[in-house]
Amino acid sequence: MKGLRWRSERRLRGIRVPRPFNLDAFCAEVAARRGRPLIRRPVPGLAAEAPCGMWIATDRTDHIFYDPGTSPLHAEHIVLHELAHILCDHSGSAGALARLFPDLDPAAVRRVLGRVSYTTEQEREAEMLASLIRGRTAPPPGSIGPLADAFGFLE
Amino acid sequence: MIFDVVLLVVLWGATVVRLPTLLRDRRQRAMWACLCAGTLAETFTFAPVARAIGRPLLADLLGVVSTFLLLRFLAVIAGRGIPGWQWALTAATLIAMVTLDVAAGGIGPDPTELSRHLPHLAAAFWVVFDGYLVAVLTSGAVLFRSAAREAPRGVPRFGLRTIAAGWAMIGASAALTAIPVVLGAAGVPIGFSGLLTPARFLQDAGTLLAVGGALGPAGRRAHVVLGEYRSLLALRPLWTAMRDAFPEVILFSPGRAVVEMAGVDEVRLRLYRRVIEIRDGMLALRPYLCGVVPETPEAEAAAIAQALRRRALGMPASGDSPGFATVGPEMADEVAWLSRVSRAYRRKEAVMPAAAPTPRPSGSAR
Repeated sequence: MKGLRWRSERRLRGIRVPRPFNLDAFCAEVAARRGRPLIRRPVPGLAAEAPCGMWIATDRTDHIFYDPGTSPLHAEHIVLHELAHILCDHSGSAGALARLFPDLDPAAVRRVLGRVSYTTEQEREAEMLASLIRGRTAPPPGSIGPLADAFGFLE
Repeated sequence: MIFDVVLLVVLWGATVVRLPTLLRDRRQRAMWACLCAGTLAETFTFAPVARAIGRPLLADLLGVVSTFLLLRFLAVIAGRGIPGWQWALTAATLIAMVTLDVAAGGIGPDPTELSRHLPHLAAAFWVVFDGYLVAVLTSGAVLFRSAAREAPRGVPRFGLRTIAAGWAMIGASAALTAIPVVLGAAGVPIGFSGLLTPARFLQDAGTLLAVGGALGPAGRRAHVVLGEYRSLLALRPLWTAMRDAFPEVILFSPGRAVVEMAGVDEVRLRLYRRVIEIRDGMLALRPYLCGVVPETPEAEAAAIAQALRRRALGMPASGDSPGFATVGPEMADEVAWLSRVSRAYRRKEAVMPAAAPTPRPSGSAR
C-alpha cells in the first residue's frame, strides 16, 4: 500500500500553490479548477462539540465554513483542510448539517465534510495535503532556482 | 585505514537512515539511489573487501553508476531531464568496461601500477573510464554554471560558480590522468608520477573548491534547521499534553512522522504539524477555559493546565470561554509564542503535577 505522504505528493502535482502563500489566491485557484464560485465564511463557535471547519457543496457553489476563534495560521489551515477535501474529491454525508444549519434545505446540499479528527482515511489525507500546501518551505518560483535552493543558497 | 572505516560507517548509516525517503518523491529517490551507489562503490574499494572479491572491475563499474546517478540527481532537482546521450554514453561505457576487462583477463586496480608496460586493452579500459568521468563532470559543471546565471547576484551566484569551477577542475584532472595512459600504451617513454602530480593537484584543488562553494550555504541552512529542531523540542511539553488529552488530533505518531516526514528539509513541515496539532488541542480545550483572555505566556500556560484538569476531572464546560491570546499571523510568531507557553507549561507542571491521570481513548490515530 502506498504511503499517505506519497499519495498526497502526487495529488499536489499540477496544483499551483502561491509562493509566498496567499489564501485568497489559492482559493481563487481552486475555484477556477472547479469552474464554480467558492465562498468561505467564518462561523464563530463552530468548534464547540462540532467540526472546526466544514465544506458544503451545493449544485452551484462550494461553501467553506471555519471557526475564527483561533490563531490566523490555524484558521487558515482549517480552510486549507476543507480545500484539500475538494481537491481530493472526497465524498461526505449530511451528518451534523441539520444541527448546525437547521434552516438549510438538505436537498440542496450535495456533499458535506467537516474537520473533526484524523481517524478516517479521508480526513488524514485532507490533513496531510493541507500540511504540504502550507507547511513546507519552497522559494518563490524563479527567484533563486531549484538547484541553488537544493544546495541551501538563500537570497 | 581508520579514515576509510569512519567514511564507510557514515555512508552506510546515511544510506540506511534515508531508506524511508524512498516512499517520498522523485527527488528523494534520486538522492538515495546516488548515495547507495556511492556507498557500494566505496565499500568495494575498501582494501579488505576488494581483496576478498578480487575483481576491481566491480568498484569501477559502481563508480560509473554513482557518477551517473549524481548527475541524474542534479538534473531532477534542477527540474530537467537527463539527455538521451548521457543514458547512451553510460550504457556504452559500462558495456565497454566489462568487455575490455573480460578480454584482458582482468584490469588492475590502478593505472599507475602498470607503469610503462601498459597493455592496449588496459589502456583502453582506463581511457573509457576517465573519458566518461570527464564527460559527466564537465556536464555537471555546465549545469552548475547555468544555474549560477539564474541565481541572484552575491553569495548564491558566487557559490554556484565556485562549485562549477571545482567540478571542471576534477574533470580536467581525469583528463590529465588519461593522457599518460594513452602515451604509455603508444610506447612513449613517460613517467607517470611526473604527469600525475598536476592531475592530483587539480583534483584536490577542485574538490576543495566544490566543497567550499557548498559549505557556505550549507552552514546557513544548518543554522536554520538547528533553530527549527530547537523549536520542535521547545514545543514538545505542550504538544505532549495536547496529544495525551486529544489523541484524535494527532496526524502521525512520532515514529510514523519520521517515516512520512523524513529528511532535513522536512523539519519545517514537522514544526508546522506540531503547531497545528497544539492549536487543534487548544481549540478543543476552549470550552473548559474560564476567566479572562491570557495576555502572557505564563498566564496562557496556567489557563491550559487548569482547563486540562477541569476536563480530566469531568467538570462541565464553562460555556463562556474567553479564548486564547491573539497571535500571528506568521508561523514564526506562532512558534515564538507557543514555545514560550510550552516552557512556562513545563515549569508549571514540574512544580504542580496533574491532579488526575489523563485518559487515553483506544483506537485513536496515534
